[in-house]
Amino acid sequence: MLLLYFGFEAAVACWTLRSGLTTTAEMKLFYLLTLLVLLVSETVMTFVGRKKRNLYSCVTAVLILANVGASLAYRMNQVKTENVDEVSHSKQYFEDIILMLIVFGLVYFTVRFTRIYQLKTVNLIIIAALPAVLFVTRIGGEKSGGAYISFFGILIFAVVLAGYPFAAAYFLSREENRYLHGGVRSMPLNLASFLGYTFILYIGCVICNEFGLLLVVGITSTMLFYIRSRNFRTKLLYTAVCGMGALMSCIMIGHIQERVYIWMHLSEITPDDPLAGKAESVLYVFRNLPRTGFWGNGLGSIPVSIYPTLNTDHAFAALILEYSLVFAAIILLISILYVKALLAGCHADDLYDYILNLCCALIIGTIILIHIGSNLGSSITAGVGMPYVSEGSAVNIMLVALTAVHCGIYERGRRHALSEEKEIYED
Amino acid sequence: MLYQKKKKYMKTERRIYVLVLLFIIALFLTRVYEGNIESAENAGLLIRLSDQYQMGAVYDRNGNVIVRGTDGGMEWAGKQEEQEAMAGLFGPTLENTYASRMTIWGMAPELFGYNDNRLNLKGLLRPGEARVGGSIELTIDKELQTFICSLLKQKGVENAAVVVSNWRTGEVLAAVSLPAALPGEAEEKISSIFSQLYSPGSTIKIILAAAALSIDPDLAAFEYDCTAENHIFHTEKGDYRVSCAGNVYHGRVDMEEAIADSCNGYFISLLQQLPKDELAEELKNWGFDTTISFDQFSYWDQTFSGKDASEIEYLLGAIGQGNCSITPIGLNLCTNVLLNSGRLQEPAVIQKRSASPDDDMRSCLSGKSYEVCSEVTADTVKEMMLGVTSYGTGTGFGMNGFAAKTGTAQKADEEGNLSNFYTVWTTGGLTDEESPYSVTVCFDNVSSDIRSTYAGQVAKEILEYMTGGEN
Repeated sequence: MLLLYFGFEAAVACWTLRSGLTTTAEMKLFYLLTLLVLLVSETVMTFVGRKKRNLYSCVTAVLILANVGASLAYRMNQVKTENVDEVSHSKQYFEDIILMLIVFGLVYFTVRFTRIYQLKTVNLIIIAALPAVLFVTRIGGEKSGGAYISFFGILIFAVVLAGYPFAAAYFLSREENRYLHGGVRSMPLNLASFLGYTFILYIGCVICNEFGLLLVVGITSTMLFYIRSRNFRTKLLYTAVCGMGALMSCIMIGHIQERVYIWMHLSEITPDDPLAGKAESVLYVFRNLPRTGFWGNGLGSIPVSIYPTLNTDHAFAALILEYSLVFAAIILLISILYVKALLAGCHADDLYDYILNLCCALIIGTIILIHIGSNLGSSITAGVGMPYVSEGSAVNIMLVALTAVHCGIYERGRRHALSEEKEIYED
Repeated sequence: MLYQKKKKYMKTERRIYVLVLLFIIALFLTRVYEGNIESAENAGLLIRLSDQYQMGAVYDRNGNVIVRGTDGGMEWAGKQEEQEAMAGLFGPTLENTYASRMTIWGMAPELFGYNDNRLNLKGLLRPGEARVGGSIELTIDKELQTFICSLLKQKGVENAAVVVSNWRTGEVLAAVSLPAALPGEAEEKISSIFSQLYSPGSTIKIILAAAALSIDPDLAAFEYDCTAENHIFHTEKGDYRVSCAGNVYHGRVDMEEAIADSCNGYFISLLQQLPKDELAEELKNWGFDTTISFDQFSYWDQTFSGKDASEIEYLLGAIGQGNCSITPIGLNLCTNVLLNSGRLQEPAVIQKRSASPDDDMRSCLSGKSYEVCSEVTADTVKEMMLGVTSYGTGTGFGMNGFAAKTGTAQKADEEGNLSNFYTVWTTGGLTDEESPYSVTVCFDNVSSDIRSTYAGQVAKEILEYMTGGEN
């Protein structure tokens, strides 16, 4: 497996470096350093993960995706010219990788060997902090493209999604001994509180105009609700309310209306349509795919004017058109295996850990689905990146932290299950 | 038990996840194979493709190679005179014209792989296959084009534009412009056939006549006294004198005689009979003061008088001067309408295309036609054009069945004053259904000793060449 990984890394590196892009020696150096760090990490995991298959699977998937991310970051490097400032994406990505590894280690060991994260105080702080972050960002945060997206320089997308699994786990793991209207057949109070809390986060997302975050939180919370709620009528009512909410946002919010229109009328948008500019980034893949074929056009073939966010929101389109359809399919498969590993039969030994793990997996899986759907025109565009392939320090660190949470819970649970089996056997 | 339940939930979630992903991919593939996501060609994309693809080949209507792409460039076939004759039609490179549809390069995106489809088994199994664009077959006759170019040079004309087309099918058979430059020379520019507006002079009269008859068919009987006193035209800003060519007075003329003798006074007087708004609407059918675009190419919009024309500029439009301007291709298409009983066949420069070297050439002649005026109107004016060559200003180049109109427009200098240079025209065609050819000849910037009949003689020689002298 290590050899296979090395072969993959070497192939991607050779192809990237020989792609004819204009870069400086420093950019090449940081790219190679990134690959070296990833290779060392994989080597370590090969030995550490011999008996920890799930940990090994998750980390290897992350490292493979990070390899592609490093290549894409290299592709985005800009050499200094008269009109353009030098921007070293390779350097930034290298720094991100180091941070990601540190965060992974810290979170994994915290979750694996302690239960600090389960403390009521910690959870209540997180629960209070998330809406506060959203509202403070709206009041004093940076505005970018009509949305308030940064909280003291960190994307609220990353901050909220990093804390949401803990909030969800806290609410959904409470004992179901109190019910709305006092009736046993009614919705449990903890579930109602979870919905209420999520609704507060929705409001925060709406006022910040962070539509991508709203979508991820919405889908994740819906899945969690469906799993935890036992009442069919409640689920039906919830579905109806969500549907109405979605319909209202499509009708009342201008930019969502536009995105839905583009999604549903893709083939009818003409060059002189007012939405042609916004549709172009979606249509570009369709228009160029037949010419591109299965083997891509090579790095640098997509003009940045079409995809200014090629290294973030449109990473999958870059994989299809520049790397190749075959390569994109491989990365898609790796992503599926990654989510499969996250959703693997969980050895969580309590409900809190189970919900926490599930929420982490759902968040990552949802982000991947939304990104791929947006890039393929199969869903509305949502400004969500591809995990580890897209650049974005805060988001990638958040994702690696959630992965570490899963790995920690899985390993502790597995150990616990093994020791129980051993006890039974000895008995 | 809890563990088993959790495992079951996780399995269900994984299945749901994979199903959703498959749905996303299936929707994507459905849209791809719907095949109607394409929009009009994008100039920037074409320019990028021209760097990625080796150009395909361009053939003339008889299958002769004109130019073929090579690794890193292109190779022109034929002798220098052939290349000179053809290069003007192709124009400068895509980058220099921003893929203008007034050049062959801009009209034929398939040459640069625009319609290439590599999503097939061959594309999958041969990733290293060179990217080569498709090919096109023009409606242009290379030999005719070369003949015309040589003829014009023999005549000593420096600035000329000649369009020959089939008025029944809309195919453009030749489009020659001088001065010509060899491919790649600095003097290369977009062909004046599509890009240069000239004052049409008296050739506008056949269009004006058709428009007038469309508004009021009884105007065929409208008569005018072409005398010295009658050449003063009253406008709000005063009286304005417009003489006929050579200060000749034609006496009492009707429409047929006015066209044959090219009576300026008649047509200015006719113009004054017509309601301005109605005429403007009618002239839009002919492409004036509106935007016209065809499937295969575009050309500069023609003007009769323009939006804010003064009264005198409006009156001068009747004799093809003032603001009145038209491209050679525009005038040729108007002529085709009159020869084709009022219908314009969709014009074409490309008759076949292939998306890639492996594809067969497919016809791209749409067969579309547009009604511009009634059959009766067109045939009436066509008969009058026959009069031009039988007893009118075109007797010097008459031939059997050749309906034509001559025109001379005095050019203005940079300050807007009339200069001693002229644009001379002859436009017309053979009325014989077996030889449905039209020709428009334009000599620009000529001195007063080069008359429109000179252009007419060139037109006649071209038609004789095409018909083998049968007419």
